[in-house]
Amino acid sequence: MSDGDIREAAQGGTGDAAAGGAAAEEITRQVTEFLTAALRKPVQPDDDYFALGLADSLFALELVTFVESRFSLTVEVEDLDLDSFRTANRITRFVLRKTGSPEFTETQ
Amino acid sequence: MNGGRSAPGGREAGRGTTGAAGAAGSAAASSPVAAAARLAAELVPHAARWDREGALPAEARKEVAAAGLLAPDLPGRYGGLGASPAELGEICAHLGGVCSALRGLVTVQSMVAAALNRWGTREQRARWLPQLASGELIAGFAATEDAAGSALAEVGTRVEDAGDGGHVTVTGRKKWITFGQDAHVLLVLGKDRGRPSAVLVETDREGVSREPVGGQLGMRAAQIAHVGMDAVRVPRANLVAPAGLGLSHVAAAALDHGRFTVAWGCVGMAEACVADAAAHAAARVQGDEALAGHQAVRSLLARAAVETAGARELALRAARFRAEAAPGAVTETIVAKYAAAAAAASASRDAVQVLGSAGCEPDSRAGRHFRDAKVMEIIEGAQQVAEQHIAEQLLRRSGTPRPEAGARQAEAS
Ligand SMILES: Cc1cc2nc3c(=O)[nH]c(=O)nc-3n(C[C@H](O)[C@H](O)[C@H](O)COP(=O)(O)OP(=O)(O)OC[C@H]3O[C@@H](n4cnc5c(N)ncnc54)[C@H](O)[C@@H]3O)c2cc1C
Repeated sequence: MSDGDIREAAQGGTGDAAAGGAAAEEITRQVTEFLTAALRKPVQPDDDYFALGLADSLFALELVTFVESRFSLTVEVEDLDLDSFRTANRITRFVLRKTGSPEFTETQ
Repeated sequence: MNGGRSAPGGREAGRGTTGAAGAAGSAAASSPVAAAARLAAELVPHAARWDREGALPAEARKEVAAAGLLAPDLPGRYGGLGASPAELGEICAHLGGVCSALRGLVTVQSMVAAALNRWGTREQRARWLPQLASGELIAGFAATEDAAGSALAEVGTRVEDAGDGGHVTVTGRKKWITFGQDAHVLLVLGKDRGRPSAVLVETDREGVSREPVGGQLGMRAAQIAHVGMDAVRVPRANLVAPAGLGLSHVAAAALDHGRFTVAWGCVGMAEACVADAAAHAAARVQGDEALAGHQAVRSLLARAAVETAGARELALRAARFRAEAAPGAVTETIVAKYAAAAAAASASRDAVQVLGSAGCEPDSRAGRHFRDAKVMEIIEGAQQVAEQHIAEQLLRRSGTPRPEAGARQAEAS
């Protein structure tokens, strides 16, 4: 899947739940890939990397920039409840919500 | 984390990459870069006196404000000029070449503005940003404490509920606040029940005290102060971002922006030093030979020129990343600041060497930049701290996972 496809998927172009699920899986894959590289540690979709103490002082800003640029969205202060960015699955949910995709069930 | 964001619904962006060619001379006469160049040329004769007197006169600040250069990258709807990262950089290079305190004024004002533009609510942005853009309010960034310098997570300033539903109280002592002697508002990093929190504290509130700092190594005109806050009551509307995110998001955004403007200020300092050293070496004759006739002197000039040019290119690279809001922007900015501070430090040292006693005169620009450049290697992330981060990025690229904690301990013992 190219970045363009993902954006389309994330933005819910097809509007059906199955596509939402596929998009969710792809978003989670990309996010965990970024996290695994950034934290130099294999990160599972439900790992809370802040609680695991893996994040350094610049990581939060890098993560926000990554999510914004990869999924073409803007993170606003209203989105910043501490929990939205704690795990890859939560980030996926956040991305789908921001981009107006159909609800999905978390993948493990 | 700045002007160039182009995401849908994103805050109004700067003018993107069109300013990339904003290097002196190529920008249109009406551009903010040209305005900064004119202002720099006009102010350069005064900088040594400001340094001696330990203050930037009100008229100089008004001129910077009138030219729209205090937070030039803010979008037009907040009164900014929408300057692109490259334009903001060139502006800081022009001002930094003249006076670090002058550039420091732009650094602190624009870093507070950037943090608010990034993480302020709609109401906070509408309330504060126009006043910061116009200079009606001068802002300071108040993070450092006695026990919290490089390790800002250690701040002890307390942000506490005032018990009336509408206010918090802020208690603590901040050190080394650039323009803290007369800033109207400070973006303060504190802790709310242990969670890092950012709050705007107006300095005319009861309980704020300021202790001017003078005669320090460098940035002598930056009207630095240590600031005490004794249960200062502040409306909850002044809290920036939810508790817990004051350091990782708010202060981090401010510092990221600050590093970028400091990097470019250092490029300007280094370029000024190279120019002063070359002019002196060409003109000064000792024993029938111009200084520039000596190989040793030419080596100093060449090394300084190359290091300076390299710093400029890294600063431009950071500007490109920022214009695209690319994920590497934070790191590229650290790289640029690291290289530019080092270039400013070594070019100013070599310039003083080539200038000889002329570089030691009270009014010598190279001598002043020599003192100021050392400060640049300490603030906004000391060189050694920057190296930690740059090396960490390198290790990420290697793709090798970090060893388990147990394994690490075993290695260490
Ligand atoms: C002129 C001037 C203006 C300033 N303006 C402001 C301002 O406006 N607002 C504000 O909040 N602060 C300001 N500061 C404070 C400045 O940000 C701090 O001085 C800076 O963060 C370093 O902290 P420190 O001085 O406590 O040094 P320390 O943290 O004690 O570090 C001292 C040295 O130890 C080494 N070191 C420290 N930590 C590490 C590490 N993790 N890895 C490797 N080496 C390390 C470095 O070599 C460093 O230079 C200013 C300072 C100066 C001098």
